[in-house]
Amino acid sequence: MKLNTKNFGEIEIDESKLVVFDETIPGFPNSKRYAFLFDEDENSPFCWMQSVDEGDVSFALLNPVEVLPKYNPKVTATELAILGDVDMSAISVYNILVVPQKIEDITVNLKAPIVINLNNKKAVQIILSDERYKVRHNLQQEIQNQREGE
Amino acid sequence: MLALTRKKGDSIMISDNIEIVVLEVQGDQVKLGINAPRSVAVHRKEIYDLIQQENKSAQNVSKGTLDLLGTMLKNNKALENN
Repeated sequence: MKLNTKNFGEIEIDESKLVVFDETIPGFPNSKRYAFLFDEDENSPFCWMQSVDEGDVSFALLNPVEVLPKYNPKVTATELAILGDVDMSAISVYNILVVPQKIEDITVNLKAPIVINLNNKKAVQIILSDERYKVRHNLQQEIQNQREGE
Repeated sequence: MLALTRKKGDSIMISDNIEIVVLEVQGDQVKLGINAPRSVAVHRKEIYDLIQQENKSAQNVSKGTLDLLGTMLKNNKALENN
């Protein structure tokens, strides 16, 4: 299907690859289905999650695996229940980025990650009870901190 | 808004599967217990509001910004490897 987007203009979306939020992302009750758009550079830790239901809704995401190797949120079975049967090896986690005026001030939301069950493409934004993580972590600072401890 | 008066130990039912129990009342603090299906998300309102606000702020990121950030991160790595 074709989709008009704010950030990417008109793009072609593969409907079989969409993720579905049965419980929508806080603030976006009208967007249930999203497409993932990846960078041409396979090594980029960034990608986009573009709403298919609202063309002007999209989130810039960070895949924390490489750049924040110590990010290890405690998640309970209850928090993941909405994803159906969960195989922990078939789960993807992403964090939402916010860029204020200056790019150096970019923050990453480690408190409320996007979690995807790769087996059934169900997704949810979990609000962690894990107190180590906040809504706004300075990304560069966080990358630095995690490296220093190595 | 529907307002109900309840005592300690009393509860209310929302639909047929969500029960909210008043566990404890102390001064201006109330401790609530919630029995709900596991798929129902329960959050403190203030943290839910915070996440909602942050998600809205996230809409301002443009493709150009993220591309730039990718380059910055790459250069950063390159520097460290040298």
